[in-house]
Amino acid sequence: MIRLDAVVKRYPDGHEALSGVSLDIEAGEMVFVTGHSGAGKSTLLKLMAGIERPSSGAVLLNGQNLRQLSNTALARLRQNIGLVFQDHRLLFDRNVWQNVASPLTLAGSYGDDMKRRVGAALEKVGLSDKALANPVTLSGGEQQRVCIARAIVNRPRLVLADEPTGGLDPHYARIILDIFRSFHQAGVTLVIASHDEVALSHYATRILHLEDGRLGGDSETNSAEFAT
Amino acid sequence: MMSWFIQHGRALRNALTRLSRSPVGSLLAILVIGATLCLPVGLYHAINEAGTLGRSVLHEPHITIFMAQDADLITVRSTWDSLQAQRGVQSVRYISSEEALAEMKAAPGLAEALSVLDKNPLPHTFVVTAKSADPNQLEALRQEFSGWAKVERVQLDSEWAHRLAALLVFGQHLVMGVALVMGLALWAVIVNTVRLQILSARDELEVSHLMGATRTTIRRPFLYFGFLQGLLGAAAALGLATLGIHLLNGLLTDLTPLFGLDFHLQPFALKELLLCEAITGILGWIAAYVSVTAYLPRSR
Ligand SMILES: Nc1ncnc2c1ncn2[C@@H]1O[C@H](COP(=O)(O)OP(=O)(O)OP(=O)(O)O)[C@@H](O)[C@H]1O
Ligand SMILES: [Mg+2]
Repeated sequence: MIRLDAVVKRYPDGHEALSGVSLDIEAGEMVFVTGHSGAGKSTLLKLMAGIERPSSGAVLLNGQNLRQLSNTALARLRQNIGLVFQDHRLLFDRNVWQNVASPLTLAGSYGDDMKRRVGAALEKVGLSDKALANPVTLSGGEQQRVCIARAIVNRPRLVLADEPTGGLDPHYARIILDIFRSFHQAGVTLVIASHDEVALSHYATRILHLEDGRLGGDSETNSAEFAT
Repeated sequence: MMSWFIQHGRALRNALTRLSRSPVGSLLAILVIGATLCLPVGLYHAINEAGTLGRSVLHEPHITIFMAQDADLITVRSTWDSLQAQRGVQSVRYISSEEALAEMKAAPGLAEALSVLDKNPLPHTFVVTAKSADPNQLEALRQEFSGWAKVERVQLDSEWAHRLAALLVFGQHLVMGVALVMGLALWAVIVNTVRLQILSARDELEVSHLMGATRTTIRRPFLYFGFLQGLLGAAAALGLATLGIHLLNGLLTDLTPLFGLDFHLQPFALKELLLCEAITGILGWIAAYVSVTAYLPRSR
């Protein structure tokens, strides 16, 4: 489903965030990306989402080279990816409900269908009672959960989550990871950047280890089988 | 199809939200557009109205023949006969010097002035209505009449109407020039307000982009924004111009009787209103398009 071929990402200031990363992720896999701060995890996810373009090498999604897609085609492709951003990216000029609904407005959903989906997504992350709140009034962890609700509301086939449990206490981290695992069991492909030891030891089936922009390890585990 | 309506409905609602979010700024922008446009719109209307008046005068080709003071009644009689026999003449009206004097004495103020004269200074007069309004034929008639005995002066009454027509053509060019300059000002106002909207919506645009909004989708609310500003600006302009017409009519009521005219500016016709709204709306849309193209952040 996702293929990176000798991908190099150099930012305009000359810093090389990724130096020749090649990897393959099959449809339906749940992959964790780990590595020290600045290792290039966020950069990797942004490349997969077509938000950043590689300086050299190729990123292929469903066999399509993202470089060859027009901006419009790239945008449409992104409509079907659930994105969780490290910095939330919530809009503070509208309430939680409207933030969560925003991917649906792009997908052309409306009315009862929209209400049902947003309601379900908010319930999953335990924020039904905050639907009308402004995200600015929420705690960091709550904002993160809004961001996750927004990423899953459109039932995407691919979820790219950047530190989804970063600001969460163990209780909610577990709820979020359980949601992701249920997605995985339903056949959704997930790539999750994370430092979270619990997440890695209890939920990961495959871990990509990044080190200074290089792929230092790619290990299959079977911890998911034992997780409760 | 349904989704097309929904997409546009959302864009429109988004644009309305943008307008209402900064009511003072929006109102000022609309007033600026209205004030800029009201001059060409009002001028255009006034010139059209004057044109209608001018044409109605043009359609009655009159030639006035003033006889010499010493013309006797026999000459006048034979002139009358000649006029009746003249080709190209529709009808003739004779105003004797006595009738003319009586008419003048009826006008207040003039009676005393005329009473000091011991002799009637007014000539016998014929008012000839020609069959054709063609300036060349009228001129030919004028030449013909001028050559007749005891004819002092021949005046083409449509001459001033022709001058008016020429003046109107000039006026129309003037309006086009003014409209062009004002259109440019309107353009600048809308380009700038849309630019400010884009700047203030940076975060929203960035998130929309990340969520997979196409450029078309992102652009659409701003186009509606420009379109709405155009429409509301035009409405303001028409409102101001209507007020102007009303005030001008007040002045004309006092003024026109002095010229023996009954001339008032009509209010805007529905066709004019719609045309003005449509042109300005489309102009606003295009200005917004240009602004969005220039200022919307390019995707990487
Ligand atoms: N837009 C940018 N412009 C320039 N340099 C950047 C940009 N984004 C990231 N970098 C740099 O690229 C490197 C990798 O950044 P990245 O955000 O991918 O790291 P990360 O693994 O996600 O780190 P963290 O765990 O702290 O989130 C860092 O050195 C960072 O400073
Ligand atoms: Mg990061």
